[in-house]
Amino acid sequence: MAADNDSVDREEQWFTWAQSALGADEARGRAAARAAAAVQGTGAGFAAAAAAARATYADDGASRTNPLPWEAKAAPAGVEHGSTRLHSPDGHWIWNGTDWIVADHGRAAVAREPLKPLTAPSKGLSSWVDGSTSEDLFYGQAVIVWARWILIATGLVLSFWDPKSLSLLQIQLAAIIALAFGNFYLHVQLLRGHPAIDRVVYAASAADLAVVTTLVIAQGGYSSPVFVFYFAAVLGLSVAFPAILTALYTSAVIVVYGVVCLVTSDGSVSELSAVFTRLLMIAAIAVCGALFARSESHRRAEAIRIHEGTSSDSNLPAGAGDREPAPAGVA
Amino acid sequence: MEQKQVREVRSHEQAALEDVFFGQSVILWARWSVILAGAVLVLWTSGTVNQLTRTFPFFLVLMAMNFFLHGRYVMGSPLNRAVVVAASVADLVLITAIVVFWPDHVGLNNQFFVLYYPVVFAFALVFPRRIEAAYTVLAMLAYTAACFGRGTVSFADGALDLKVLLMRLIVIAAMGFLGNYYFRIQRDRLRRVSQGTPSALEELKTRLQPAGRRAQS
Repeated sequence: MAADNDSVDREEQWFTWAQSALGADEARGRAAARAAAAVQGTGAGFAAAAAAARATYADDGASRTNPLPWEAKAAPAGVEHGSTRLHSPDGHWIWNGTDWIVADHGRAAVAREPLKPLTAPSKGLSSWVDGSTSEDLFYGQAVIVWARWILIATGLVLSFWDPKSLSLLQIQLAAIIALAFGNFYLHVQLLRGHPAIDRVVYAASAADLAVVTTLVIAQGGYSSPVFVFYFAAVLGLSVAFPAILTALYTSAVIVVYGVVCLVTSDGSVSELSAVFTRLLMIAAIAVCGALFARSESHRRAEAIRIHEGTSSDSNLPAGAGDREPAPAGVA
Repeated sequence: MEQKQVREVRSHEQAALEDVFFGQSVILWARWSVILAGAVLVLWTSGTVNQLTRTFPFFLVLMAMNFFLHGRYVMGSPLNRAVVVAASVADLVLITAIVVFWPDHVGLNNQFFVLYYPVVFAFALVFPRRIEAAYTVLAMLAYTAACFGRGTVSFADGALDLKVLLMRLIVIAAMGFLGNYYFRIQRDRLRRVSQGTPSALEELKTRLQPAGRRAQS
């Protein structure tokens, strides 16, 4: 009986605390108080009980599903959505709809290490001068390396397919072998976890474009079928490089290849329209790659923000302590 | 009191829905580029009124479709994944129609095969590997069929036509493969960030550390 009275008192005290610290909504305050009292009844400290109260108060009880991007912008403070059950911020408790119960710590997906900040984000143009490496470039570099292997393998096979002349074949093979050595170095660096410094990657991509341009010019400019390799090269750099560098490289390709085509085409409408289409599609590839890379960057930033929001919420804010009613018996 | 953080993993279905939602903008912009190129080409190269009135409606239909899809996207209404796939298949149909029916230049001689590239690339940035592979193969088959169907691939003269066709097909395949490769890298990064686990780069560095240093850290 005494225990029941204690429980009721504790709940009342938590209710008062919830009204002052969390908000004036009575129903939510009652639920929060019940949750806090239940958690505290298991011997947990004030922090865990307060976190449970905060999570319950924030939860509207209507939806437990993770809000999709078009549904809601922010999850309620202290509540981690994404499952059919609600976990307290410290991960030790699960709200089953009525009470807080001890969470199953055997589930690997539940409790995790705090988020570590991303290392060395993309540095843009400044990386030209400081010799740094960027994480975005590291991941994008994998795409560039594979794009270059495709270029090398295809170029090698097609070079031997009915070569036009000895000198042309010599130029092709020399360029391809040089690319292969360079790409092997970059790929080994990636596999060893030592991404090449940004300047090397930028220079390598410039070399790709230079090689393709050389082959295009050597094969007659407009009529050369090799221009398709511009697409693979631009794709790689568009997802790896900062937007401004992508724009610079793509502009350079469009200007150089456009001039080569204008000089070597017969000037007919059909050829000029074909040149226009090629240049526009090269630009489209660059825009698509850069758009996607930026969108993913925002998604990661949002994920970090949510994660860090949860992190700061689980530690009681300084102001909250001032408003605590310090219920009797609350440690 | 230092407390451990908690993060629930999004379900596979939720992640796929988000991928379609966020990736849609890439598909939309790729389609706008195709529409722009097509519209300019039709207006530029049409020699007669009849030619213009026969070809332009294709792009008007595509434009109307993209206005609808882009409008839905801007309004924040998620599009059904099936609708996105269907619209992307419609892109392939239209581009193949250009390759097959374009006046004077058809099949392998048609220079507008490059329209396949951004469409396949954008699709690969949105959908998982199997769907992307099916779409890329469909694009390659459609282009191959268009070239052979119009009888523009000759095996004479060292099969040079075949060489050119092969080169173009390889780049279509590369667009799909590289796009989806990057898509999967980004999925993994997002998953790791959401879970608060170390990035692949950090993990790799840790694994490659000498045993002594690893034990110390």
